[in-house]
Amino acid sequence: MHFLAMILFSLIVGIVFALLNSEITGGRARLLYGLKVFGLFVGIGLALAYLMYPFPR
Amino acid sequence: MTDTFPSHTGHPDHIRVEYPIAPAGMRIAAVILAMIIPGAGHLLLGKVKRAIVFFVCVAAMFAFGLVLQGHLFVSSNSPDWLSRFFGLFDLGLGVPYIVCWMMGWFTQAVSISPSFEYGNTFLMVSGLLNYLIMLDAFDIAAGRKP
Repeated sequence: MHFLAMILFSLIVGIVFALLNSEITGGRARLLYGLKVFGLFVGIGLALAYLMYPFPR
Repeated sequence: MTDTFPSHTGHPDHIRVEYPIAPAGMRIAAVILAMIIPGAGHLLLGKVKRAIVFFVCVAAMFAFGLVLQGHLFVSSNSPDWLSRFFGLFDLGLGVPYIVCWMMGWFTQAVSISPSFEYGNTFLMVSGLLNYLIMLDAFDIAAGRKP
């Protein structure tokens, strides 16, 4: 459930950020930017989770 | 097309305006509408697809927040400054937040739920996203964005 929440969060924020960024023009560039934001959210989230694994409390 | 508008338009000469400028009333209306319904400001400005996507995204974020047992921070039940700060984030939702506040809906913490903090985060971020969407509507109306 935690992972699903992170995916949903990253997906929605990625879509909104891709549409808000005025420096990007063109549908393909927006899609790539949205995917990049999504990937960064998920990747950094997983990296932080991995780093915190030895410290459960 | 890139123009530098003269100062009598209300823009200082150094601000470059690249896109059509909406009248002042429409700029204000776009921001107010965006606060009432997420995406409505863009709808007013003729950005229909963007308006629909923004509405769906903010509404989905809000709905997921409630499904995850999150609650809205309101000043009446928030004794500490951090909760009031979070309340400012939720306030970005605009009218849905005010309605929930006045009716007392979703304002009580469900701390026994394992996902309530995720829910709170979803609700706060939906408000923050709507602040950005409001600013985007204003920028489009002011000719700073396409």
